[in-house]
Amino acid sequence: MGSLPPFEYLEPSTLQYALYILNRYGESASILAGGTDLLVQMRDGKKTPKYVVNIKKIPQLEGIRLENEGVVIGALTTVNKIHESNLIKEKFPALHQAAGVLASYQVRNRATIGGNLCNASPAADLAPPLLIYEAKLKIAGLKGEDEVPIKRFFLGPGKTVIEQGMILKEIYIPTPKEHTYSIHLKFGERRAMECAIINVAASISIGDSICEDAKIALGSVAPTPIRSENAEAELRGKKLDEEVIKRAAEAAAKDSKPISDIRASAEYRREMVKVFVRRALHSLMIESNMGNR
Amino acid sequence: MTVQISRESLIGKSLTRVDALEKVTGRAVYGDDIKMTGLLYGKILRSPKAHAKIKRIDVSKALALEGVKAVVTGKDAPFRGGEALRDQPFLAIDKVRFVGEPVAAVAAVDERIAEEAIKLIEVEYEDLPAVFDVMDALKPDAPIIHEELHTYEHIPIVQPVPGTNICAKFEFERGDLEKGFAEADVVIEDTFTFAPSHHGQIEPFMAIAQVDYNGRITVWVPNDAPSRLRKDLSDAMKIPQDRIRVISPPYMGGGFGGKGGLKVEMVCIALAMKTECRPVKIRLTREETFEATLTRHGAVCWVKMGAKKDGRIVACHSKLYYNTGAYAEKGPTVTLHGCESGVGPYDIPNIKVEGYCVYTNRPVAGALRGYGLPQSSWAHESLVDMLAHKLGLDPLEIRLKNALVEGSINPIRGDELFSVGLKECLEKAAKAIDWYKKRPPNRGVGIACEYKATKTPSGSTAFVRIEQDGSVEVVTSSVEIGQGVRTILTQIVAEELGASPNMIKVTVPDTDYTPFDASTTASRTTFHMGNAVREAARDAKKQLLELASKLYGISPERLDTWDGKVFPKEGGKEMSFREVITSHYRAGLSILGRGSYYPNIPGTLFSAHSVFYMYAAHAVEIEVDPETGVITILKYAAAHDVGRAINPKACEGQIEGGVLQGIGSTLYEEILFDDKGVMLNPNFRDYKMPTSMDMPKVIPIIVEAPHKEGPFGAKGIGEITLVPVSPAIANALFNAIGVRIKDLPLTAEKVYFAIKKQKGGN
Repeated sequence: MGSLPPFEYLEPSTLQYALYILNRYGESASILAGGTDLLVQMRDGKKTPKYVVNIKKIPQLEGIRLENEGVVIGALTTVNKIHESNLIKEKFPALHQAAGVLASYQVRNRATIGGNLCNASPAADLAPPLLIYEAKLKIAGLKGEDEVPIKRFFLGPGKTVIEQGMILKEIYIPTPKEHTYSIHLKFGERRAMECAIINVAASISIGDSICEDAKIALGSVAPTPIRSENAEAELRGKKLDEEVIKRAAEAAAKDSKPISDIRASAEYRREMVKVFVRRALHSLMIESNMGNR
Repeated sequence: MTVQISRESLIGKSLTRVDALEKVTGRAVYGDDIKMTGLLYGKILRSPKAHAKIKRIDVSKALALEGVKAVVTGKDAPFRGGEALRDQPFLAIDKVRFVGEPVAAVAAVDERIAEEAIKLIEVEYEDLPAVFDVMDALKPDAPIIHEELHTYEHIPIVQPVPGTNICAKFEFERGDLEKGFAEADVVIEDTFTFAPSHHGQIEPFMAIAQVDYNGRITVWVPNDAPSRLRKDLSDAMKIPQDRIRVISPPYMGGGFGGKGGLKVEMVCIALAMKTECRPVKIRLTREETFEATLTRHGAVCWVKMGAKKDGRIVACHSKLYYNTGAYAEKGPTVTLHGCESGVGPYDIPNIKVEGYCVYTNRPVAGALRGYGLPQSSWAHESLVDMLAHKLGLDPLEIRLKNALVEGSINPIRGDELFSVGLKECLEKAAKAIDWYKKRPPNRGVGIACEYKATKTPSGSTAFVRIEQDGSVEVVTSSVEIGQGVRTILTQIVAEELGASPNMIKVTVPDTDYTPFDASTTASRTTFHMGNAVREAARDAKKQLLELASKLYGISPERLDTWDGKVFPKEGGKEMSFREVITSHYRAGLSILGRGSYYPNIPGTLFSAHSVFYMYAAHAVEIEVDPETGVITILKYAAAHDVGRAINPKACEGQIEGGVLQGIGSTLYEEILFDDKGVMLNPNFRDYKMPTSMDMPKVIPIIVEAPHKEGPFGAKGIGEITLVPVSPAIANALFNAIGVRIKDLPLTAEKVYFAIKKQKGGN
C-alpha cells in the first residue's frame, strides 16, 4: 500500500452527464460512490484510474421509495439508511439485518448498496438478502436502461454484467407475498469489521401450514453469492419440521463450492453452511408458527 | 488569618488523565504531524526474498529521477545495531534474511516520487535455502542465517552459539530435578505452541532525521526509550552519544513494546547523511508496519511437572524455544524473561528452565507486552490444569496450594520474595466469577496466574523545576505511550511537593535537555521514574521551604506545603510558591530539584533478580457453541497486585486493555505466511484484532501488597495484564467441553474440529 496515485476528479450532477463521461473515458474512469472499496483498491495499486467520477452529486440515485407493489432503493443509498428504514425493516427483514452487520457503523455511514453489489465480492453482505427477495437491478447506459434480475448480475469475484460506461441506478425489490418470513445470518469471528466466513439468507412462504415457496442464498461459499436450488427444492411443498430442515441444510452444503483461504477452510465453511441454514430455517419455522397462530 | 488546609492525599485517587482533553479533541500532536522547511520524504525498497545473497544493486535510474535527492544501500551506512546483540544492518549488507528487510532507500522531494524511484532500483538476488520453523532451525543441517555470529558485539548476559542458529541460550537450575521427579506421585509433560502476533499500534512507525553541518544527528521519533536509542545509535555508528539528539514527538500512538530499539531510525539516518542538512521523514504504511517492524515471538514450549498426590508440585522442567526471526532485536532478553517465569508463580523446590532464542527467516520478533511470558505462561498454566485434572483436584486449589507467598524463595533466581499478593489475586478473581457454581452444559470456567519481573538493574533520573510563576515542570525522559505516565508522575510530584496537579506539567523527552532514563518499558516507570521524581520533588520542596523560612523567620521544619502554598504548621499566613520565589528573588529565578533511582542490586543490564515482581490471576467464564466452535466470554475477572495503585482508574484501564489484547492473541490473531515467508495478512482487515464490539465484561480487581521501595508502595502493572489470558480461556474451554487445545489461537474453526475429533474418538 502506498499513497493515493494521482487522478483527475470529476463530479457530474446528472446521470446523463455521468454516463457521457464514463463513455468518453472508458477504462480509464472509475465510479466513486461510498469509496469504501475503491479508495482501498487505489491505495493497494489494484486500480489506477485516471479519472475518478464521483456520482454522489446525482440526486435521483439516492433514497428509498414505494413503487409497483415493491420498494425501490437508489444505488447511492447508504447501508445505514437502509438499516434504519422502517419500510425495509417491516417488508424485508433479512435486508435490514444484513445492513446492520456490514463492516462497522462508521463504514455503513459511507458505503452504498450499489457499491456493495458492484464491487461483487463473494462475501458482499447485502447480496444474499437481495437474492432471496429476487431483486431487479436497473442499469443505465447511454442507450437507455436495462433491468437485470440479481441472479444474473454476478459473474465472478469482482465481475458483474455491468459494462464500462454503465451505472447501476436503482434496485427494485418486489414485496413478498403474505405469510413470507425471512432472515439473514452472518457468521464471522469478530462482531464488527468482519468479512463473512459465510452469509446465509433464507425465506419461506407458508400456505395451509405448508411451505409453498422457499429461497435460500449463500455468501462467501462460491465465486459469487448464490442461490441454493437443491435446498429450496427440499422445502417446497413440505410441512416444515426438524427432519425437512436438516435435509435442506445438507443440500445447501452440497450446493456450496467454497475455497480455503486465510479466513477459513473449505471444509469448515461447508459445515457452517449446514449449521446456519438449519438455524435460519429453524428460526423461520418458529416465527411462522407464531404468525399463523 | 489562619487557614485550615485539608490534606487529602492524591495517592489512590483516580485523577482524570492530564492528556484526556488534548486527545479526545484531536489536538494531540503526533510524529507525522511534524512538518519542516525543506523536508524530504523517504521510501524503502524491501526484500521480496526470505533468504538470499544480494548479487548486484543498481540505483542509477532512481538517482536520475527528477526530485530524488539521495539513494542509499547497505554499503553507504555499514553499521549494525541491536540492544542485546549488534547483528542488524541499517540496510541489508551482502544478504537479506527476511521478506521486508530494507535493501535500499530513496529520499525525494515528495513521497510519490520516492515511491516511483524505489521501483527503478534493480536488485539481483541469489536464493539461499530458508528456514522458518523454530525447531527446524535447530537441526544440524539447517541453513545458517548468521555465518558471522561469532563477530557480533553483545551485552554480557547474552551468549550466542556460533555455527548454529542459536542467538542466545539461558539456563536456570535449582534443587535436584531428578530427585524431584523421582519423589513425585504423578509426572506429566506436554508441548504447547504459540502463534506469532503483532502489536497493532494505531500509529504506524515514523521518524525524521537531520544531520547538521557539524555532522550532529537529530532524530524525531516516537521511540519508547530516547536515552537507550541514543546509546544504541552511538554503539552502532561508533560515534559519541553527544553527537546524537533524540526528540520525542509530544504523543505516541501506542507502543506495546514495538516502538523501541532501531526501526525506521536506521534508514532515516542513512538517508539524512546524504541530503546536505535537509531533514528526511519516513512514515511506514500499515503493511510495512506489519511486515517489517516487529512481531511477538512464535514459540514452542515443552514443560514437564511432577507432583505429590495432594497436589504439591515438587519438580518442573521447561524447554522454551522462541522464534526470533532474522535479527536478535530484544529476542535474547525476551527469552530470558520467559525463562524467569518458566515454571510459574509457584514454590517449586526442584526446577530447570532452558530457553533458546533462535534465528529463522521470519520477520524480526521482539518485545510485545508480556516480554516472553505469554509463551511460557501458556505452557505451564495449561499443564498445571492438566495436572489438576489428573490428580482430581480443583484448578484453583492446586494453584493456591503451590502459590508463592511472602517470604517464598523465587524458584528461578533464588531471591527471597516480598510484596507478594498472589493468593489474594487468585481468591478474588475466582470469587468474582463465582468459581464453584454449578454450570449448564457448554459453559465452563478457567483460571491462570503468573508473576513477572522487571528488567533489573536499571536507572532513572529527573528534575522538578519550580518556575518564578509558581508553576512546576517535571523534567523526565519517560515517554507517554498511552499508558498515562504523565498523570501518574503528576500525582506523585503533586503529593510530594504539596502542589496542585493543575500547576504541574510533564516534559516531552529530548535527550539534549531531559536526563537519562533506561526506558519506558518492562512496567518499570511508575516504580523507577516515580521514585526519581519523588526524590526531585522532595529536593525542590526542601529548597522552597528554606527560602520561605527566611521570609517567615521560622525554621524550615516548622513549614509545610499543600496545594501550591507554603504555610506554617502551627497555623498562620500562607504564601503561594510564586510569592515565596518572587519575594526572595525579585528579578526571577527557578528552583531546581533533582532525583534519581537506581536499585541497590549489583549486576549488568538484565543480569540480576528483579527489584519487584508483579502478581496476577485471571478467572474467566465462557460458553462454547459446539456446532460452530465459537467461544463467547461471559465474564472475565482479572486481579492484579500492583503494590499500591497511584491512580486506580489508570490501573483498571491497563487491565481492561491488556485483557482485550490477550483475547486477541488467544481467539483470533495469528500472523500467517506463505511457504516463501511472505506475510499473508499484513493489515487490519485480515489480521483480526478484537474491536470494541468484541470487548466482554471485564472485572478489574486491584490487589495491594505494598513494596517497601516503591513510591508510596507502588510496583507496576502494564505488561502482565495480558499474560494469563490464553491459558485462562483454554482452561475454561476444557472445563466447558473437555477439549484441550495446545496450539494458539483458539479460532472457532480449530475448536470446532477439536470437538469433532473428540466426538469421533469416543
